[in-house]
Amino acid sequence: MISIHQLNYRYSRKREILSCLDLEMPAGKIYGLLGKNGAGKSTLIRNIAGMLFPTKGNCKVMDYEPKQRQIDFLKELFFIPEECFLPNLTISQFIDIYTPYYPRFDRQQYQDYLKQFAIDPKQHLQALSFGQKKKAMIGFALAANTRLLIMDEPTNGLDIPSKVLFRNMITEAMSAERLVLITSHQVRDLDELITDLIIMDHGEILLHETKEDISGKLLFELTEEPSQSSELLYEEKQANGWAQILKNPMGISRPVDVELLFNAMLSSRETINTALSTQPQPELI
Amino acid sequence: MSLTSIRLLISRQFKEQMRVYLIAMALLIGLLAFMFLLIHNWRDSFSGAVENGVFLIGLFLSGGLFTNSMFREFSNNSEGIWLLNIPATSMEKVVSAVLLSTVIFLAVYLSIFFLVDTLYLNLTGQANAKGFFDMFTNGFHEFILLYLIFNGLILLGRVSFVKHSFLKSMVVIIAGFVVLNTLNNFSLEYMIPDLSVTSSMPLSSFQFRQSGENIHVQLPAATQAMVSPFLWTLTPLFLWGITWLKIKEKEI
Amino acid sequence: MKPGNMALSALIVILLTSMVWVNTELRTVYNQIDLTDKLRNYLSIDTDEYSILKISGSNGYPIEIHQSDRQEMRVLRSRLSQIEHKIHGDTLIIHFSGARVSPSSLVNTATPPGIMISSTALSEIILEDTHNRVSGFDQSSLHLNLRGSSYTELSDNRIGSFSVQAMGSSSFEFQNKSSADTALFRLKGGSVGFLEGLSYHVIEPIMEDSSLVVLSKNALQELMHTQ
Repeated sequence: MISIHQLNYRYSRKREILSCLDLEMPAGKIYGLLGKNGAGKSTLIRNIAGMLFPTKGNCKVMDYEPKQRQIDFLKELFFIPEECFLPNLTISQFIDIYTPYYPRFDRQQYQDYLKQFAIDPKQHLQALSFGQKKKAMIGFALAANTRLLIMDEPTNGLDIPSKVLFRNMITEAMSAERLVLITSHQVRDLDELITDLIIMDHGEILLHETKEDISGKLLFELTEEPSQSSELLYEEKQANGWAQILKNPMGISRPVDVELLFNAMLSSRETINTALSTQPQPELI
Repeated sequence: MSLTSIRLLISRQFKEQMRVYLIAMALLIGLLAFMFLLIHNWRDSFSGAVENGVFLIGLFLSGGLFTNSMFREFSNNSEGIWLLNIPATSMEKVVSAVLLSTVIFLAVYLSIFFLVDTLYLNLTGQANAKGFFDMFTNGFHEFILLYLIFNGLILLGRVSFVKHSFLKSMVVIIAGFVVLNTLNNFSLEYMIPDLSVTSSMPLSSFQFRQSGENIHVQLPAATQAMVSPFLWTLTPLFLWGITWLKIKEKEI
Repeated sequence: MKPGNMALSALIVILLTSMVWVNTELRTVYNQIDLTDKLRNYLSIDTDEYSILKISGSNGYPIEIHQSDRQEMRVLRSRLSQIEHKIHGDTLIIHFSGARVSPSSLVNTATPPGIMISSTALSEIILEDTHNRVSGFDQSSLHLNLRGSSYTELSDNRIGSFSVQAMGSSSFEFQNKSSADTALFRLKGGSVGFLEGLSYHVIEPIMEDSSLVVLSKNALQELMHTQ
């Protein structure tokens, strides 16, 4: 669905944000885009959403060139920036005005989301708290049933129950034709949700793998003592012990510690990538 | 371009800004009434087309501010993203903004002005003596056409300047007019040696001083008939077209 | 350069080029003006023959109407766009509008005449809401019809039968050397007539509403005497 080839983006001659990015993102997946502040995450998703135009290279989304902002492309895209804007309307007015733009908008689905988030449809959008606004917008975006949904830091401002609800809503709303791209600093919020992981730093893609592949090739462990294993790729001291990433030659399936992997990629990129590029042995029973 | 989409965009703008527009309408009525009160109280000091003056101040002030409320989303990143992401073409977005800030605005402004003017003339007992405001005398309606150019400039400023767009647009418009006028005078004095230009209107006329008398030089009617459509029709169309290109090129 | 900036630059270039072209046209018009001519600031307008002159409008520039051996109408160059005229039967109808000048500001001595009309003979002059100067008429009869808030100065006229009808808040003033064998005045509304500069043999004033006439002492005595 998203095909990026040799994408460069510069704000000015001296300031290059993205350099020679190549990405293929098929539909039916939930992508987590991770990176430090200034890594280029927002610039990348804005290029995908057609808000920024590539300086070099090309970016194709659903066979559209996002920079053209064609009407059929916009009907299939919903982009929620980190500080999402909601107009000065009641929720009912908001639905009446904006639903005609989205041909597959499901009003009942939106009403259900509002109910789950405990938001009264009669309320004025401007009167909602930051978290409620975000929930109202996420609900609208999901009910719009666009093929591409991009969310920049969607869990910011959500309370713990809402984060759980958010994850369930996204999972339920997923389909084979749909692609969800989420950026977040709060890696753990997305741990269970995302199917694919993209880690960025200094305008480059450090990692782009499915969680399934990562889990098959790397082993994530937490021990009381530092590891002496020859399979050790990366370890760091945490409050409750030593978190380690080890080679997984046996293909043992364990949950991926996304936060640990993120830190590992920033400090030991080559080591991790080498381990990921090797084929694991079949899991022994 | 879809008419349904334009209708939806106009309706969106109205519904989102309805409260502000109602307050602005009340303010406009108050402003016009205040100006009429001023000219009535100091009627001995004001001579000439005072109603025309009130009409123009109201038109350009309220029209400029109203036009500047189009694409106001661009002054804020998240709102700008929201506007650009609305599934309508850039052309539909520009056309709806132009229709709102010209056709619909002018209809509302003229209604309000005639209402306040009628009240003023009746309350001051001048209704029979002066007659009502006639905007089709002496080419006064050309100011409406000038408003279209002004509208194009303000819209262009709105999409070009992120912050304080109205003030910046006004500065550019005034500076542009001064530069154009200076260049025009310079060009005339270069073409006609020993000419002392006292005033000039680019693309129209100039006035020079000769033996203590101001002599007006106007384009021949046939030439004026060629220049006027260009100036009054093509210039706003060009400006709206540039606004459309700027929105297409807009990056947030 | 982005297309938007290119289009903006193109517009500026077109405007500047048009400005220079228009200025060459203006230079041609300028070169046609005879700067030594006293009437260089006026343009001549052709009209058909007429005997009744009807002028209305609200322009602040005075209108001069005088008798001459040839018919001619000249308009101040800067006021050309403010004049509309047509012949209807035997009447030349002129609408000379501009800023709606308040009646108190109508009398304007600081500006040059906006229109100068020369006629061989006129039977009637109808004036509405304009500032007029009627002079130099030497003929057997003339009827002056004043309406609205028109103000008319009369000087150097010698008329056999001179009738003036004034209505509304119009006013007229005989300034000097005007004479009439028979002067008939019919004043209505709040009209005012200043008769000090008129000498006559017979006068017939008819006054209605709150109209008034202003006379010199001699004229009053003469009027009392003739009554």
